[in-house]
Amino acid sequence: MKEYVERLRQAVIDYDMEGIGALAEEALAKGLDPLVGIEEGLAVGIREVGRRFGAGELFLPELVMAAEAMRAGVAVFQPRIPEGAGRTVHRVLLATVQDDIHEIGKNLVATMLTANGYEVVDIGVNKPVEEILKEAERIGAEVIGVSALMTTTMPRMKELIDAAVLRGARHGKRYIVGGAPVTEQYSKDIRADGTAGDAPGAVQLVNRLVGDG
Amino acid sequence: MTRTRLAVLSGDDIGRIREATLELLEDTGVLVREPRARTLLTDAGARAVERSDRLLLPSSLVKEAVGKAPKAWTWHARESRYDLRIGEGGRTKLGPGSSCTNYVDFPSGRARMPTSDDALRLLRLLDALPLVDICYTPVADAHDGDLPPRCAEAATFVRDLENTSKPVVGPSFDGTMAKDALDIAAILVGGREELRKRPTVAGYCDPVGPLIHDRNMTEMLIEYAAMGQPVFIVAADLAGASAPATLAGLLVQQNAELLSGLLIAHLVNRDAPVILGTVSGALDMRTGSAVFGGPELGLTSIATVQLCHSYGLPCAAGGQSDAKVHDAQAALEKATTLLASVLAGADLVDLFYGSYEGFNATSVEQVVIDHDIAAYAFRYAEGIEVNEETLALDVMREVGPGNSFLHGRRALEHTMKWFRGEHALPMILDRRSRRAWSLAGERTLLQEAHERAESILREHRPTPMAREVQSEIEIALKRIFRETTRAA
Repeated sequence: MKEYVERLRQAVIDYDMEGIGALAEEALAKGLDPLVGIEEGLAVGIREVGRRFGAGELFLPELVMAAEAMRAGVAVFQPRIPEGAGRTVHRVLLATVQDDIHEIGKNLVATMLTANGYEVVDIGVNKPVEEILKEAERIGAEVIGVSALMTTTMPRMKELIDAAVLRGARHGKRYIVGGAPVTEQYSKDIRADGTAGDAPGAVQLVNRLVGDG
Repeated sequence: MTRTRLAVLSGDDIGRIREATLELLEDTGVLVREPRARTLLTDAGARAVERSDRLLLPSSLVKEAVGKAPKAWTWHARESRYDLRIGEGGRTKLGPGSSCTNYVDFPSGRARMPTSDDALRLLRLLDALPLVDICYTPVADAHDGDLPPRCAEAATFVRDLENTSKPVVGPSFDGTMAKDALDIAAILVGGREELRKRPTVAGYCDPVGPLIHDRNMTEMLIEYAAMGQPVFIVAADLAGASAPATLAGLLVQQNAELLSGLLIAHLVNRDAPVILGTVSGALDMRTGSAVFGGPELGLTSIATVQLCHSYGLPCAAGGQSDAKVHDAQAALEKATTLLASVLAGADLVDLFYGSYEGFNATSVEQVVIDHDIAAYAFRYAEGIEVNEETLALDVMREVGPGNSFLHGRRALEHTMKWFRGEHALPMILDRRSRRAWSLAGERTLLQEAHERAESILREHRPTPMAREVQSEIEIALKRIFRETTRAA
């Protein structure tokens, strides 16, 4: 089994997006515990890729491919994990606010969080406050991250946090905001739990808010 | 006079990009999220892709719009001495940054939220400086309160009209805000019919890459175009993220976004004056940040100017920096990117003055520094005039070997006549001896910029609006505030 764990790790490091699914199936057929496949194989691999990215050895396209490979592997293992034995993952919901359809930054944050072991549910762009809060509740998100690129759509972030406070959804959840025009001061003013200037910064922020380390 | 011409594409390159653009529009098409624009396009012959907002655009349709779009026109200002002729070459027209959310303080260099005092100072400085051609509030200051966006945009527009008599860009978020601006502009020029004849307040539309015309932006475009006002359609694609990593690929996609935007404007109003443009850059693959101060923006700017001019259309290009304070990086990036755009012969560089941190930060000091960058770039563009008199053979004969050109009547007359036009004279760049500079307090460029901004602001008073126009505009603004509160 050790051999499969090592090969899965390597498949993520080599961002083998095509081959990793078959490898995971093969490992399962040989009796690999799916939880071990994820936690000791894929997750260890993606952490290594994240380390190399942080050190400037790898670039974004490589990181994205590794995250895609990881996702493909998880998609095979996840449904085979027996009920009750589920791994504990922190779930993050991401969206671009209503009237704004810019999503490059949000997508990068999704990739970087995935690469750092978070389960990201990206519900897309132009999302009204109602829908964001409803989805966050439904999937049990611990962190809700919203993005805006235009100064005219930034007020939607405040609306989200005000609405969350009103309905008691502020408690137990963390709200983070981002996008090029969003400043630290703005984040404080609207009582968000933080902002970060870029995707690596967003990972540090989420680590600080809910992470294990 | 503009002589220097920078080009990065050959005639063949331009032809291939143009052809690829038409192919992309025909077989991949664009997403159009605004229903009126979709109807206009399908009525004109665009093919709707089932169960989506995607439209495939026949080449003939695009070509016709490009062919018939106004090529040269006047952008009117509150005072006619500031009117701009667009599309006839000449010096590149420059404008300020927009919606900056950071104001960088002097001397601390710390960024903070812009206040309405910052906004006013920036506006008045821009109004005063001679090489600023377009003028409007470059910060998102929310008027020091919690104004709803519609009110803030209208109030900003009114403040712009009060504090500058140069051409202005109006609220550019959605149709409602555009209509507010057009109502106000109609008061300024003496009625809606008059406004229709006078391109005065520009709308600013950014297609979203890849290949999307968003609902709000398109609503806004429709309103401005319908009133015959200038419409900027400016792509802000990022190579490697919202566009292909290759600059040639980015150019094709961007061109498709621009031409399809132009087509929408054309179908709304054939006489709508459109300015295509670019502020596209790249995604930094180390950090995931957008890069606007690098050579990608400069190269894309030059190529976009070449493409637009190949269609006979005016073009707006970029001049930007990713620096966080007004430091050497800011100067380096703003100078190289602006030089690229100006030397390419861009008709406009509209998000230039004072703007850095990838369009997010500004300060009065950077506006002044940028003014010297612009003066240098313009001098490069003027190039070298060669004629009998500039060759100065006679003068050299008279002066002979040895001696100087600051001596003797003939030489002095020639020097006097030509030095102003031939030599750039910066406003604040230091050219003194070290000793003179030391004695004067060893001030840095930033300190000089600060002093100059302060002294201009002490002196300058914008030309006031006619009192009756102003009070009518205030009534309109109050109505907009009332309507907004009622809607909320």
